[in-house]
Amino acid sequence: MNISLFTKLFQDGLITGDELNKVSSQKDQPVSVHYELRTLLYLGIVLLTTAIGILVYKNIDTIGHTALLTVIGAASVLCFGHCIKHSKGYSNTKMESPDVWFDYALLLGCLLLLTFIGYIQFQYNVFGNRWGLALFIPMVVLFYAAYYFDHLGVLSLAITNLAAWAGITVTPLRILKENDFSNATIMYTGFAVGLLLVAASYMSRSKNIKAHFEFTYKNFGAHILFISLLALMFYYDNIYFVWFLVLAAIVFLFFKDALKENSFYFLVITLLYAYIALSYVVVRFLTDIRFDTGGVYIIFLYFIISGIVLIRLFIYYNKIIKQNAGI
Amino acid sequence: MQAYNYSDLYNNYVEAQASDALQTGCIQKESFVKIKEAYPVMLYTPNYFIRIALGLLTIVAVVFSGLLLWLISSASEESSIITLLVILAVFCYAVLEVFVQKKKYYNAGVDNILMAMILVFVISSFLVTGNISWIIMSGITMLITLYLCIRFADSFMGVVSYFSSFIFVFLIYVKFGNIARATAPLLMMIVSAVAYLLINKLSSKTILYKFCCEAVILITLITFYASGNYFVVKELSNEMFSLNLALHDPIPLAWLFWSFTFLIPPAYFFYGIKHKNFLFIRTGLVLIAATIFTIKYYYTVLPVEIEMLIGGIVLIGVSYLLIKYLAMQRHGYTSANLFPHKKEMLNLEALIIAETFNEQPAAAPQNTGLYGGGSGGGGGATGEF
Repeated sequence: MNISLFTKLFQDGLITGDELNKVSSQKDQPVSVHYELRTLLYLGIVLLTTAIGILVYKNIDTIGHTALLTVIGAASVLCFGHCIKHSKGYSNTKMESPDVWFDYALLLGCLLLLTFIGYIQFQYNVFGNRWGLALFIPMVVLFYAAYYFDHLGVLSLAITNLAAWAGITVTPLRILKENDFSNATIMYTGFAVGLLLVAASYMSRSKNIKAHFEFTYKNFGAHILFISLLALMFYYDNIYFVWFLVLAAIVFLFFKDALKENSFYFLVITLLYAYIALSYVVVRFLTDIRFDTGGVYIIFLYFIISGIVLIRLFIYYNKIIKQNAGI
Repeated sequence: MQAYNYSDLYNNYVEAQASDALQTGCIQKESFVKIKEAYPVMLYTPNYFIRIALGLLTIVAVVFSGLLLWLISSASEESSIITLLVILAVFCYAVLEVFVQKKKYYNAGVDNILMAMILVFVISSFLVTGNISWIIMSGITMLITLYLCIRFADSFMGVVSYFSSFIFVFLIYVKFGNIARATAPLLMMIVSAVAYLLINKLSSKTILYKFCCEAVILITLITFYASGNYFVVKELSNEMFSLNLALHDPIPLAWLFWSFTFLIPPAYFFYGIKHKNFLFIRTGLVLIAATIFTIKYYYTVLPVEIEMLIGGIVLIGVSYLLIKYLAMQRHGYTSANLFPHKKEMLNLEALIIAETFNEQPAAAPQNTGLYGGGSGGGGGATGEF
């Protein structure tokens, strides 16, 4: 911080002498390398687990499945044991983690559990053809662990596992790439999972059970819900307008909620998804009635004008939210 | 020259400083409010997410305006397309000036994208001509972005300006024959170092361009390293001067470039530690990784999974020990989280975990039953999560 600036602020009577002293002693305060060290630790864990994965894969003939399963299972139990021993027990409110190791041990334990179950299904076909069960059991454990030990990362894993159990992918970089949006079942599944997650986020807040899980639920839920709805709209050519109306209704609810919660993030994503849907309807409508150069002119004009209108809308609501939030 | 009033930018700076002080608990909320009243911020900078949305919509509006203009003019020849692109660039600049002067947009998303669009249109008009002189192109980019950076205090334009002038100097210098080619890496290191010293000096004097200066300083650190990096020097000269060198063919002064490759990253890192400069610490860490990749490109020491295993163990060990060691504050550092209530960081962390540790194949859709059955299930049967 700029000491001479704060000295001037002090002379102008805007800050007290005590505050000035605090500012000038700030440079002697320790600086935090919390996130740097965490990033390194995290990178180390990614490297280590990947390396072990490759090693196991290359040497599977010499190690043997039983030995490997025993080690993976035992390591997972050890990790969970560490967490149970140090846990302060369940609470409906947010719990601070007892030590650095705790978060990572829990994460590692969960990942090893996933590997263990995947492994026994792949190798020994324990669950037979009931593949769903091989995803359902870890999902339950993950949700339980996320709530009991209060871990947002494990909650995210549980949500992606829930989606996988239902047959879809929800992680940010893969949501568009790995889902087959020409398959109606996938779209309906996405729609249902999205609704379920949004409901879960609503419950977290209203019942005050782990209220800080709300964002994670709502974030995954909103994206899969909107993307599924857009896909349904593109897919059902004849009744696309019906799906547009469904989407519009959900957009309206999200929009109201974003304003109520003063959330810039949800305001932006809701309006952008709505804009994609609206543009599709407008372009469809214009190409249906006349498809010639005149139609193209109108489409271009639509995008220019709508873009500008939406910019003004965002500027307006930015102001509204700022006023409401008092910032 | 400046599009903004000095006092507007100054008040912005005061607010940023006061907000820092508020966050670190140095001043009370009441003082913060008093400071804001005494130094009202007149510039328009909306919330971060809103800025992204405004930027995206600006791209939509500008691109479709361009398409509409193209359709109306029905330009097909080279010269008419170039005219069109130049008109679009001028149009963007005019809109930018109006927004900045009338509405005082400052990093509002709209202004940043308009500046980038000016650059895109100018560069495209060069690319359309087919036979392009890279020297002229980098020279013109340098001048345009320098002007935009000075006028609108935009850090991205500052970075592009530095980078294009870097390329400009390099392209001119290598025209002076073989000795110039051989010494080009050293010259570019000197250029980076001089740029660093100048900008650093400027940074301590200006408060209006502080953010621009910091962005450019980061790039000077990277270009200084890259100019001396063995991989960059060898492969770039191989490519540019058609030397046809094989993987292990030596280059002149190889020892010198290897020493640069080895010494610069730790030097940055320790300098950063000593002066509590996070820019140097973080850049140093990233460049250490770059050095490791450089070595790995030329020499295979161990199988890759063993290297990863060792790297992983070392990283976990070192960071764990440091977290323990710095749990009490020592040497002015601490591993404690001084701002533990940053909700965004936790949410981001959760998303990264879901993304990186989730290799399960998206269940292949088979119509039998709800769940289709991926080949691995769980976290991937081989343990490669």
